[in-house]
Amino acid sequence: MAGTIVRMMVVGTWLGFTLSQIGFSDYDQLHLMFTFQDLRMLFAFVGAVVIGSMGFCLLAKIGRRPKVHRPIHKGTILGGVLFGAGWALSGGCPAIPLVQLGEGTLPALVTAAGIVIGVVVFQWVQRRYLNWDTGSCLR
Amino acid sequence: MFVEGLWPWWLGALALGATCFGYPLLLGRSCTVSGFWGGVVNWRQEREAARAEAELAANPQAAEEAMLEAAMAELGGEIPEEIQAELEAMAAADPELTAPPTHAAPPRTAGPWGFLTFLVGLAAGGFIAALGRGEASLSLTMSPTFQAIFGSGALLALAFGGLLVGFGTQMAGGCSMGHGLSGTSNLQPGSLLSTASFMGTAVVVSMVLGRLI
Amino acid sequence: MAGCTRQSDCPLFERFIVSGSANIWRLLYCDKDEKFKTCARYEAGVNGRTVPVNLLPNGQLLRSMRMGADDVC
Repeated sequence: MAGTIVRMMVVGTWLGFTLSQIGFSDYDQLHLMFTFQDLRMLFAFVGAVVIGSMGFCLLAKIGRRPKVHRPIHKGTILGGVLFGAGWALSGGCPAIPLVQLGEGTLPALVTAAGIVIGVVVFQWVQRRYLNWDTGSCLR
Repeated sequence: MFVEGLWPWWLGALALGATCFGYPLLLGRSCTVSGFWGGVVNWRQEREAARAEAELAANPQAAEEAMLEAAMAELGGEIPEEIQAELEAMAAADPELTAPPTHAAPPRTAGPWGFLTFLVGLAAGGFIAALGRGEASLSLTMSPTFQAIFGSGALLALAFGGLLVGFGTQMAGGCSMGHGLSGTSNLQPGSLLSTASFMGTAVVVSMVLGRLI
Repeated sequence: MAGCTRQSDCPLFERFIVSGSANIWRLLYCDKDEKFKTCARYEAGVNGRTVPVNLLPNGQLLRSMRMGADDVC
């Protein structure tokens, strides 16, 4: 079990470091990307997708391709729209407020709290009204 | 295109791309960050589930026996002939169904402590990066553009934005890592559609917000 | 094969495929168009709850340390 915790720490730290170094934790940079004034981070993201898919192909060749299964479901579009709006408002995908806290930006605490509340509210709405199959039982 | 202290686009692409397939290799599950937020919120359930997995993994033979026993109990003690026939037809039609798995059983879940560790790691990574750039310092404000757009409404924007992010990523079943990076590089339809939705919306909202400067 | 949309991801099948006993559940729940919605795993998933790996479609929790299974919620 300890080995798992260590690995989670390593990957989490690496991802936080990477996101900070690319500039995803900086609202200025993010705004420049989303308004197409500076495409640097967009190229980084698209490049990452390309390199990622090459990596998956290579792994398939040696028979070690991890399974990634994400079908379209009821929450796909609306969930994406709400997330995108939140991203433009708060400057973060779910990882970012934590990266920002590490960088010393204290207001990110508010963003993080908002995320927790959003998660809780959604789970309540799921139970009471929706019962949508969002694929969230993937481990 | 070049920003002082930050990585050029291609270095970012390499690092993030490596993370895309390195993550599942090291952690045994597909990329997610929103999933960990959900897991932390569901702390007690996740802890129970992690314990159950550990218990089953500790003795796979007993697990198999218990599974068979439970299945038999469901059928009332023995397998009726028509079910037996269907099972055989299933095995004949698709031998993979009863063959031993060709890959190892999925690694056990890290449990809520593992999820929390990952989230803390994100902060640690941010700290190290900022330290390296000589920018690690406590600040009570966000970046200049953010302050210019929201002014005194900054905290409200963060709270509401965070709420939308938390709610939306749970509804979509993924975030920019899970859908945007991992899902698109595997050409998964749900991820392609979700990524287009959140990117498109973020662009539109950002452009509208830009007019408030 | 109609039925449960989650079959390809369900850990129940990845873990218990050797004995084939998981396939009994497939016949009883997963492959049946309306029945799969009564599967405890499916229900937990669409209600935003964690799905324990040892949760059986009929709601019982599989325990390997002793014979038989417990009842759950």
